Amino acid sequence: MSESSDRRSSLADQLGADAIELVRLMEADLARHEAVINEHHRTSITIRGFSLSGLAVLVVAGLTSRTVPTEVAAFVLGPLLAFADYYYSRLYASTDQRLKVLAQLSVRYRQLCGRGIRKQEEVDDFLGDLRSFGTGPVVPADKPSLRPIRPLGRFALFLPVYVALVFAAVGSAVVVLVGTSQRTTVDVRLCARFEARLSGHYRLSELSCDRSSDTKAGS
Amino acid sequence: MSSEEVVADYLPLVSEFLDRVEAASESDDDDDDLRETELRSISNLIRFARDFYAAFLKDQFRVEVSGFSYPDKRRVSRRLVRAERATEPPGPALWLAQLFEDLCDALHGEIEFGYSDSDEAYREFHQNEFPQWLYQLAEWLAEINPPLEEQVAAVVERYVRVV
Repeated sequence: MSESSDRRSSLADQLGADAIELVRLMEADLARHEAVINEHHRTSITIRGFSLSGLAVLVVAGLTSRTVPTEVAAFVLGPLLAFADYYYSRLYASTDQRLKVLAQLSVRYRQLCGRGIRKQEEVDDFLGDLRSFGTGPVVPADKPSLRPIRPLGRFALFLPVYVALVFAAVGSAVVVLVGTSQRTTVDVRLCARFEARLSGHYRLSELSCDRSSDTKAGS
Repeated sequence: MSSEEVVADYLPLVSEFLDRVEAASESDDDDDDLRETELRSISNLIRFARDFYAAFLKDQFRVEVSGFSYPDKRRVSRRLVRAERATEPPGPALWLAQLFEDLCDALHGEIEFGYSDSDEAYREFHQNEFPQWLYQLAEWLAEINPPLEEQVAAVVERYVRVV
């Protein structure tokens, strides 16, 4: 009978004052993290959009105007912008991970609040989760390295686009270069022919000069 | 491998670490740089704590952990909440298990996995977390393996003096 009445006691009584204070802090943390991550998503979409469209414009402009420097600029700028995007994503990776943990805690707390009868094990698990969140940093990945190089979050989706644009820049630079060298060969041939014609004309004019001088001498 | 065997295996590595730090402190050229470099070479110390807790938590609390990640910490915290309610008064084994949570915070936050690898973070680890853990380890061993406890106590004393 007493066990049953214990089970029916309010969640605040079961958790204790310290845990309730932790829950309050956790909810405040969750709101703060959500605001930060929303802002990050908004700005990263803008930054990513500018980067990718800028790169695409450079690649297309280089290909249509057949200028190698534009393609070289795209080739250099591509990796730089991809790295900047990655670095920006990396800055918020930890916050993003914490947000997931905080959201899980918040949902669990609401579920416990909603129930009239709670098992002591469930309350203990929730207390353990609250405690493990505590004040320490939360990085759920198993063994992250000090400077992880793997792509993070949505950046992983856009990395192939960056790579494709850089390859497009290289490809179009090669196309432009090959086209330029073919044109140069044709131009050199044309010049050679023109020079031959010129030299022939010069020889003819020399001959005509010689003839006219001979005629003058004869007369 | 039991947790006591892990301690016996890793104690020489801690002594080697202390030897290197001591040698770096005594060398003439670029004292500070060399010493700081040695103080950052803590992979053996982390492996010691990781392997010890993998065996200790399994033996004492029936919790399996593989490192200091968040899922490991959460599993341990859940188990410790129950253990703390059941154990009156808390003994050295429980205190030692509680230090696992502190090490998780320290290793995830600053030293091994975090962004910072500043000297200050390592100083904190060497001055607080690791010697405190060694001290608690000696306390726990005093009940179950006094000869090993003496060895650990000697290492703690040297650690505090050298580092």
